Amino acid sequence: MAIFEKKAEKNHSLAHTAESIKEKFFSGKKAGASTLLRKITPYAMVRPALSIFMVFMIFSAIYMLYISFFDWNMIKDMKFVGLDNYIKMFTDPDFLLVMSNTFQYMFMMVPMSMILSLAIAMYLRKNTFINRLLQNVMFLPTIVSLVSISFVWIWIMDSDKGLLNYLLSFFGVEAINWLGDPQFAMFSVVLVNVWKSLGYYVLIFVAALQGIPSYLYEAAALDKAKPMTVFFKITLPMLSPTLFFLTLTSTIGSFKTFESISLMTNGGPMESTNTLVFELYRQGFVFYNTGYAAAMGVFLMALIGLMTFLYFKVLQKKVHYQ
Amino acid sequence: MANILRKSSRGVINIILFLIFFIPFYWMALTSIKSIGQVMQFPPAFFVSKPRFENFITAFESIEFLHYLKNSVVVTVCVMAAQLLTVVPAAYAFARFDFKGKGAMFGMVLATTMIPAQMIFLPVFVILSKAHLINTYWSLILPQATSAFGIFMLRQSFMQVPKELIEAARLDKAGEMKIMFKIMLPMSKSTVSTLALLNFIGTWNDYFWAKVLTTTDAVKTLPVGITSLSNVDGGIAQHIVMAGNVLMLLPILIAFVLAQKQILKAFSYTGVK
Amino acid sequence: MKHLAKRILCAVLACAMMFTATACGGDDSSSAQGGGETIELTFWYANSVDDYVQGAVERFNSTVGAEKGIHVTAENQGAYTDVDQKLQASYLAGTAPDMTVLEIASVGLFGDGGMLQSLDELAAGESDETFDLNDFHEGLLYNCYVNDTLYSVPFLRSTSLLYLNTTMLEEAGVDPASITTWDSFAEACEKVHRETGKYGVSYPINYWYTEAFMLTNGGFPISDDGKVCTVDNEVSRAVNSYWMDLMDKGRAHVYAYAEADKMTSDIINQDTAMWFSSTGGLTSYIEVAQENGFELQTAFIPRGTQQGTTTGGCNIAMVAGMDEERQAACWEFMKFMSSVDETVEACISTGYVATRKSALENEKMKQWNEQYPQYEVALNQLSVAKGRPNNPGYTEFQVEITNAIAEITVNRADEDATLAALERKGNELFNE
Repeated sequence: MAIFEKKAEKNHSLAHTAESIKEKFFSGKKAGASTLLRKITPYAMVRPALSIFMVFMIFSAIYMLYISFFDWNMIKDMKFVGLDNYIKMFTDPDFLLVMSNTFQYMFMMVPMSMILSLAIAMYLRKNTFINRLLQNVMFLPTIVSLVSISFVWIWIMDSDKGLLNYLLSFFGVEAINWLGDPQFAMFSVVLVNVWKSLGYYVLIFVAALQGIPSYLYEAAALDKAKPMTVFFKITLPMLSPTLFFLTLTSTIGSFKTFESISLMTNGGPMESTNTLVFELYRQGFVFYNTGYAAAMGVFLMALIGLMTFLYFKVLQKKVHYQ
Repeated sequence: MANILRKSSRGVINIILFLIFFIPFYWMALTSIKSIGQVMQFPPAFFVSKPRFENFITAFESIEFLHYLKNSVVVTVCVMAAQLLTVVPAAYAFARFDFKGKGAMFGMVLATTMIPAQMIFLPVFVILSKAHLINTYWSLILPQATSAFGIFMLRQSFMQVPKELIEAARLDKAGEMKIMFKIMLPMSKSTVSTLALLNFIGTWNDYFWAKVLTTTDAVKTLPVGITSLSNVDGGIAQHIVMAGNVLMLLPILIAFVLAQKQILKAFSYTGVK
Repeated sequence: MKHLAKRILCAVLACAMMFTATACGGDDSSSAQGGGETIELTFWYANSVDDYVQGAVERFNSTVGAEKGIHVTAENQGAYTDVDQKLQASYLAGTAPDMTVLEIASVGLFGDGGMLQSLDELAAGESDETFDLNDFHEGLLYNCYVNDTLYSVPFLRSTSLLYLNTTMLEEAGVDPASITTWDSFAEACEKVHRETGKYGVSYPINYWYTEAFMLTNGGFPISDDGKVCTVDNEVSRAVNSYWMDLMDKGRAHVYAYAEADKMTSDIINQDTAMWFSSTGGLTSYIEVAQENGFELQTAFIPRGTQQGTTTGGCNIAMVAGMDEERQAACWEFMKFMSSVDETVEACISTGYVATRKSALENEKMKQWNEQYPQYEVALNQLSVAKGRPNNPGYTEFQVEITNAIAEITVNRADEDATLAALERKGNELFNE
């Protein structure tokens, strides 16, 4: 098919462009002769943002890294313990549970968000009034505060008197203890978070979908291509930059999910929703094992860094840039 | 025949979608006009024959509502301004300049997205305390004064601006500020609007930073302030709590409705390329 | 045009930012009184006692405060855990408040760490008329000392109580006064369930009550010397099987603490005849009872092999590091807040126990107790109350035991394995 030849060509020149961008970007080549002002300007431009980052985030993170080598409850003097906190962390069976919960959350949250939002975006991609209306309604969860809506969901999910079980009873389904049953609690938290972010992803996907040049689809129609083929060979590749970006941010976000857990389940029931970030907060500021919590925080950041690195390594190749 | 089937199944799906996303809000609004007895009732009441709008007044009066509202407005507006001032130049620099350390700096910006707030709030609190900024507006503005996400997105957008335009402007000896404002920003209007909206939502609804960084009512914002509504009536006043939450949602809702057109237009141009 | 507008907007916003940030460096909530020598003090407190605390602070400021040139500003920090966390953070930064409430279990942690001012000297300098430590009920003083040094003064103290919806009980043919032992408690539950179909009791599993229940059966999760965890024994099993039995027969509504809202709902809907709660909620519950048309009584935690209950609430402590003048000023406030008049006010306003023995002779208190005898129960229970454990590792243990008991009773996990694991964990935590 002609279209795929065109694409192959594009891919080739694309790879070429990507290479040159990479070169320029990471090798620090100078852009040619410039005045002194020109030289300073970029530094001046990044300074405000960078100072905020350095002072509040980088310095803070390094400070916590420093603390992770001590035994400290914030009141008594710090006691240097070297790698003890890290050793304790990796040999604690409770920590394994926390890790498993964290990954469980991520593996439920990210695919569910991406697949559902993509599916709904495909469904809503035509620019009709109803579709726009639905997109707006779907965006509502994004604009409400998580704190407010968590309370609503707690009631909706109440095992005795909640709306959800009430509706389920009409289908003859037995009441589920959404937030109190260790088997369901994690799913419930995922559900609320997916619900909250779906509208945002759908909006972005719809925009991306509407940005795919229609001649691609027309060409496919001419060639009598099947819908599945069209989706996998045209739509998906064209969406891949968006998909890559959203999957990455969604993954990083899933590691940082704190408030919904804190408000809805408090890590329970039976630690089934206790994730890394929640446990680190609890250890540090409820149990006052601040050094231990800092070690956990360092590990969490390393984990996120690793995931990000893996993402780039593995998925970057599959991303099709224009 | 197949057409009717398709149309009606679309109709059903549309309704289901609508309900899934709308019902919690309906529930929120409904609860805010119920009496406490109706809130606790089972089977749940879907309609209220005698809406109690006085719940809103109770919510408003039980806490320093206007004061928290003022604080929320000040903090949100200032954070938006701060982000505008820090993100735009930084994105421009990363997008269109080459300078030593650029890679490392950009890498650092990305790295900050991996740092959870729960990990750093203690040092941040200590830093702000030592600078005597706790319980001033600065304490809530500074930590959120910039956004890695914003820099990343805007940089992408700036990178799309045709080189020729910028080269031409530079040949005309236009200053960088001018280039930034007269060329880059207007071409990225949609991205900027998106970022502004998301910023507004995020800052207005922020609960964690406002909670851990304030020790007095001085600059407490709405999300933290209304949690004390749960103390009304000995803790048995969910209807008042919801009324408070509805009140807090209203400004954003109004802003969202007003900015409708802009938003959809913005999203239709963005899409990460 | 648009970019110009944007630039102007930026400028305006920048100015607005500067103006608001500097001009309103937070509201100036502390007003100088009579210019000059007024000592400004900050006091942190917690929970939904704003009405009482703010009122008390105003009373202080307008009497003793005005006299001696002291002005106190009280700030509600949220829950006890919020107070603790902010206290530590601000202490680190050198911006701690002058005085604060401390949940009684936290006094050990902060006192041990050197964050609190020892009150021995100040207390010794007082006469029996001005401040008599012996006037406080003994049960309350236990958690004011750390290693025999006085670090805090009793403030809003409570015991856990059994609350009774006597209307429901009587309907079911139960005499409320007969519910004194676990046996009669179970009987009452049975009758309520049989006659009305409702729950006899609604109970969110929580360490505070587990402790009390164990106490009434002769046990306790931690040994007296605070070094040994004692949960894997007959006492625990007796308590657990008691509750599981009631649950299975539909007589008790038992659930995890995260769902504590269910208790409120049960109370308001009159789906339960009894429940357990702190005496600190008494005033609110009386209101709830009045609004929902039922009679409310309070009673001792039912007796097993003995009578017993747990205490809770907070004391007031002074942060270390102040000069003598400030210390003296804080001490005045602390004396005021723990005075007979104030403790009577606190009791009436919230339900927390009147901490002073001589409060019993106070006219206002006597009248109130006549009208509302429910308020005396907590006080009477003090004689059989056990203080909160001082061991810093106990805070984490509280979470563990709450989870474990819920696991066993609600989710029917293996009792032997769970209790064994809990005891292991406890011993670890207590001896760190």
